[in-house]
Amino acid sequence: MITKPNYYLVPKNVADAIGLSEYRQEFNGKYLLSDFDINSYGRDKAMAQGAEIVSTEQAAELMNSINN
Amino acid sequence: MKTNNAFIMYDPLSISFSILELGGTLDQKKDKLTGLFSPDRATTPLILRPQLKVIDPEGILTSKTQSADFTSSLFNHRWFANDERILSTTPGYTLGNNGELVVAVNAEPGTPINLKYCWNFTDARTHKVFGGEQVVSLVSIAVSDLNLSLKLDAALIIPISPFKNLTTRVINATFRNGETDIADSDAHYEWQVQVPSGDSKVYRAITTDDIFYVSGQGTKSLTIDRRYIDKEFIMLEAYHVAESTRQEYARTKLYRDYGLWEDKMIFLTGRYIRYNTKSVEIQTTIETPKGNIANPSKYFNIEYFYKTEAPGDVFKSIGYGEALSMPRNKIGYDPNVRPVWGIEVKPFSALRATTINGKAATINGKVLCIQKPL
Repeated sequence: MITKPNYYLVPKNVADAIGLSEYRQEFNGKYLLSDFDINSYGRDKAMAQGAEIVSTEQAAELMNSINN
Repeated sequence: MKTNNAFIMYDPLSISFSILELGGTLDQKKDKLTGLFSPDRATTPLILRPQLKVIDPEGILTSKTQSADFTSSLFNHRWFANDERILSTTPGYTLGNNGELVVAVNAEPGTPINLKYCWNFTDARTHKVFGGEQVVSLVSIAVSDLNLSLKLDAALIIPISPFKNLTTRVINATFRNGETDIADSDAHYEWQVQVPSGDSKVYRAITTDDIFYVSGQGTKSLTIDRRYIDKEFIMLEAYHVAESTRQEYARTKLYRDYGLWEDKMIFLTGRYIRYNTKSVEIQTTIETPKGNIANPSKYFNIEYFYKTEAPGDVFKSIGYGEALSMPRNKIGYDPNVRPVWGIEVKPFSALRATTINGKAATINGKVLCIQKPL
C-alpha cells in the first residue's frame, strides 16, 4: 500500500541543521522538505520548531507557483 | 665515476570511494493511479555526493590508521546519465562542487537511469594520477493502492414485468476505489451475458447482436429492452485502467415475470340465448392487483374452446384472441343440451430471435422474432 508523501515547510534553522537549505526550495523564509528529509532530524522536533505540514497537492501548488 | 640508482618507494594508499545519497534515495515508487512519485525529486531533489577517504599507511598524507577526507582533492569530475554526459545545461541535473550532483529527475518504472561518476585523484607523494568510476541506478516501481468495489443498482435477481409502459430498463453500476467513485476515463467496463457452450455455460461480451441490448456497452449503464428478456444472466466486468489485472465483477439475473394475475371469461352477449340471439360474444380479461391488463392478447395466448353438455362431446378449439364471437347457428337449439365455453390462457415468452441453422433470421436487416405460449 502506498500513501501520499507529506511535505513540511520548515524554518531555515531546521533546514540548515538537516543540511538541505541549499537544496530545497524556499517559500517566504521556510523551506519545503519531504517526510524523508526530516526523518533523521525528527518530525516532532521539527514541528516544535515551527515546521508546518503541507499536503502533496499543496506542495505541488507551491512548486507550480515558482515554475510558472 | 661510477653511479647507481636508488628507488623512492611509497606503500600504496588505501582508498575508499563512495557516493552519499542525501535528501532521498535511489529507489522511488510511482502511484499508478495518481502518477505521483514518492519521493518526488521534482519537489525535493536527490543529492549525490562523492566521497573519497584515504589512509596513508606510512603516515605522510594522513595518520597511519585514521582515514582522512580527500573529496575536495577529486578532479576531472564527469557524470553520465545512461552514458550521456551530464552538462550544466542538462535539464533535471545540477552539477555542484566536488563532483556533487543534484538530481531533480524521476525515473519511470521499467526505465532505470544509470548514473555514472568518473573521477581522478593525484597521489601527492608520487604525483601519479589515478581515477575510478562508480555507477548508481535510479529505479522506480509502479504501485497502486486499490480497494475496489463494484455494485449494480439491481438485486441479484430482477423480475422484469412485461406490463410496464417503458420498454427499456437501465442497470447502473457504481465502481469505487475506497470511498471515491472512479472516473469514467479511468474505468473499463464490459457487460457480459451467459450463453451455453457445449455442456456448460460461459459469459461473453454483450454485442449489438443480442436482441435485448439497447445501449451502454463499455459504460457503467446498460440499457436493455424488457420485451426480449426471458431469463438472462448479466455480468459486469470492471477494472481500473491502471491495474487491468484486477477485475471486479457484479452479476444479476433478469427474468420475465408476470407477477400475480387471473384470467376471467365474461359474456358480452349471449349469456342467455333466446330465439332472437344472433351470436354469443365472449371476452377474456386479465386481472392483476394493479388492475386489468390492457390489450391482454399482447401478453397472453388466449385460446377459446367449445362443447355442449351432450354425452361424449369434448372441448374443441374455436379461436384465439381477446374476444370471440360465435354465430347462433353453431350453438344449437336444444335447451337440454347446454353449450359450454372455456378459455385457456398462457403467458407469452419474451420475443426471441428466430434462428435458421443457428443464425438469426432477418427481414430487411431486422431480426425476425417470435413469442410462444409458455
